[in-house]
Parts: sequence; structure tokens; C-alpha cells
Amino acid sequence: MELDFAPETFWLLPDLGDFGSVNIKTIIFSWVVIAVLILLSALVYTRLKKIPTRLQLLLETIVDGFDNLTRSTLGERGRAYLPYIGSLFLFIWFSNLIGIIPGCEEPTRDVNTTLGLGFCIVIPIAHISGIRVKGWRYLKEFFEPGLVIRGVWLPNIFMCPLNVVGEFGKAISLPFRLFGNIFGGAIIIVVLSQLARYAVLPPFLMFFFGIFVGTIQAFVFAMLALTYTAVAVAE
Amino acid sequence: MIDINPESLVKAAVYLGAACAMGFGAIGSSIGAGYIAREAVLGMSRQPKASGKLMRTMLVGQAISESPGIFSLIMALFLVGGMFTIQVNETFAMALLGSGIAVGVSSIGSGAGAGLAGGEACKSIARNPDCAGKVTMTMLLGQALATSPAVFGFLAALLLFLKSGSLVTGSIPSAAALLGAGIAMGVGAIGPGLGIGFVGKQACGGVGKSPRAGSSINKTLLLGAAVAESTSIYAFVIFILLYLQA
Repeated sequence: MELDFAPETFWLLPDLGDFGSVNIKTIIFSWVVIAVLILLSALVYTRLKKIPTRLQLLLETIVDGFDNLTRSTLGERGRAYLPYIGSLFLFIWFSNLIGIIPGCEEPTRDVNTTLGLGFCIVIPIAHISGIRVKGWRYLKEFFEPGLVIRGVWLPNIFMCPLNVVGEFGKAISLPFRLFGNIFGGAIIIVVLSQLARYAVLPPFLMFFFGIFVGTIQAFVFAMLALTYTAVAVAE
Repeated sequence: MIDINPESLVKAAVYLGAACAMGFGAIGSSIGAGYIAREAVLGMSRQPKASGKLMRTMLVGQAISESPGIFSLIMALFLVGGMFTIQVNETFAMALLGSGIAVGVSSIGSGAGAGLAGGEACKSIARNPDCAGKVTMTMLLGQALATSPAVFGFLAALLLFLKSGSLVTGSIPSAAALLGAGIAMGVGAIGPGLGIGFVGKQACGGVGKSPRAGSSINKTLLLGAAVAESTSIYAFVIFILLYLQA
């Protein structure tokens, strides 16, 4: 039994070795997902109706649900975060769902996508929001719980490494959870397809891992992004 | 007479590694997911109106507490399916056995810990359905923290797996270092996972009882979890040291 899950690489800048390469399928299908999302929303947005069509109803439900979530978690500030959380969810959701179509590959199956989402989007946005809301007081939190001597708050240097390590753990575990679940689903489908000879099991598994696990993991990722931001801005 | 040659030794180690990964890996996740379902069912029988909220919380919670088990499954499939890249030397075998142990044993504590947090969240929501949003947020935080030792284990297993492809020469000390690295990360992650689970459990209960204290509870949860998690970071440091020895 042979399993080959190495992504197809394409060398843009061959002189740089591995750093000059891109995973071509990941890039293509990320853009496909982005195009589909833009087209869908443009299609609905340009012809909004009082009596919604099915597509409009679906998108309205999603937007409304996330509006409620962000506002119940972040309060009045939540509206500003709705586009961020909503598009994070929609991008990951559609990325997970695209694997159902034969020949397509989930962008989230590539660890580069999930690490990029985690390290370049979720974690910076949480910290930047914290700094924007609280200013320099935000950095103080890394030295909590401080030492209070005669009513004067002093930074506790020994807590700083622990807090930083906690941040690091959050940053690592978020991308790898998404990657592990989607990648695991893909492997399980391939392995069991070889055992079951493409009969009944693979479509069922594709349904399970593509739709069920894909939706739940996208929701979990978006919710954790929201939660990390909420913890950073909480007074 | 049993035929002992390097190649059969490697195969034996790979099979044992896959068995350890999935066998140990199934323990924690299934206990955790079952505990969440138990609390959700109890909650529904007490408060049938909150069934929808409980169902959603249960599914999300189970999906997270299941992810250590999924990591183990991936690693086990890698080990069984990765047989074709075989290079015959004993160091290689020990790296693969070590990766199985790292991911399998590390998911025991994390799966159960995430389950504790999720179960208590379901209980809280049944008691006070109005604060479902806040409780879900705390649950997600607690579970994400509780599963991070398992993520370290998975990372360690992937590193060991990749290392096995680059080994050319082997010696008994480096074989022992790689196996030891796997054991250090795997066993070292049991306690932190469970410990963070305890913190997450009480935090979910506390937010359900007094939603106003939510943000200070979350902060304490983060801090306590970071302290409990530091033990798994020590394990990861030792893993890296041993990994570099080989």
C-alpha cells in the first residue's frame, strides 16, 4: 500500500531551494475558494430582495449568526470584528468543503495554509486589538499576577516566561488542530477507499469528513480566534 | 528459530509504533467524548428547552476532545502506510516506535481533560441556558489549552517521523535517544492535559454560576493552564535535546 501525501511543489525561484517553491494546488484552490466566496456574495448583494431567495437566506443566516456571536462575546465592539471572524469561518469552511469535489484538494490540508492563518492572522489580530484597546497596559498583563508590595504593583518577572509559553502553546495548537483533522480525514478516505474498492464507504466518509468535520472545525477555528481576541481585550 | 535481521526489526518496530499510537490514543479521547455526551444527555433530561444549545455545545466539545485521537490515527496510518520508504537500520526503527508512543500516550491526558471541560460546560448550560455563549467561550478556551499537550506530542511524532527518513548511520545510543525522546514527550503530556482539564472544568462551572465574573475567570484559567502546561513544555525541551543527540 503506497500513500503519497507530499504536496505538489512548483519552483518559482529555483536558486533558493525549498524556500523558492510553492505548493501549486494549495495556491490554486485557495484562489478558487476566494473567487467562489466573492462571486456568491456579489450575486446576493447586487440583488437583495425583501422576500429572500434561498441563497440570500443562507448567507443571511450565517451573517446573522456570527453577528450575534461576536456581539455577545465582545459587546458593542463586536460589530467591528464581524467581517474578520465571518470571513475566517467562510474561507475555512469552503476550503474544507471543496475536498468533496473529486480532483480538488483542500487548501487546509496543507500545513502552510493553517500555520499562515494562525501565525499571520489570528494571533497578531488578538494582540493588536489588545494593544489598541488597552495601550501599554496590555503588556503589563504578561507580568501578571504581579507582586503587590505596600500597595504598589510591581511586575513579576518570573511569570513572564510562563505567559509567553502559554501564548506559544495557543499559537501552535490552533493551526495544527485544523490541519490534523482535515489531513486525517483525507488519509482515512484514501486508505479506506483502497480497502473498500470505491464502493459504498468512501462517499459516506467523504460526507462525514468533508461536511460534518469540516463544518465543525471551521466553526471551532473561528470561535477560538474570537475567544483569543476577547481574552486580549477583556478588562 | 526466529529470523532476526535488521529489516524485520524495522518492520516490527513500525507495527508496534502504529499499535501504540492508536491503542493509547483511543483511551483519552473516547472517555472525554463520552463524558461530554453523558452531561449533555443529563442536561437535556433536566432542561428539555435547552436541547438545541446543548446539542451544539456537545458536538463542538466532542470535536475538540476527539482531535487527540485523530492525531493518533493520522500517525498510525503514516506508520503503516510509510513502510515503502524503508531504510534498514535500527535507529530508524526506534524513531518510528518513538513517534508512535509520543502521539499515542500524549493524547491520553488531553482527550480526557478536554472532555472534563466540555462535560462541565454542558452541565452549566443546562443549569443556566441564558449564559450559553459565555460558557461555550470558556469551554473552547479550556479545551484548546487542554489539547495543546497532545499537539506537542503530534509535533514531536511528526519530527521523529521526518527524522527517520534522514538517518543513514545508526548506533545504539542514538536509537535509545530517539525512543527516549518519544517516551519523554508522550508520558510527559499525560499530566498537563488532565491538569488543564481540571482547571477548564471548574472554569466552565464558575462562569455558569456567575457569568459576571467571566473575564476574570478566563484570565485565571489562562494563567493556571499556562503553569500546568509548563510541565509539558519541559517534556518538549527534553524531547528536543534528545532529538538533537541522535
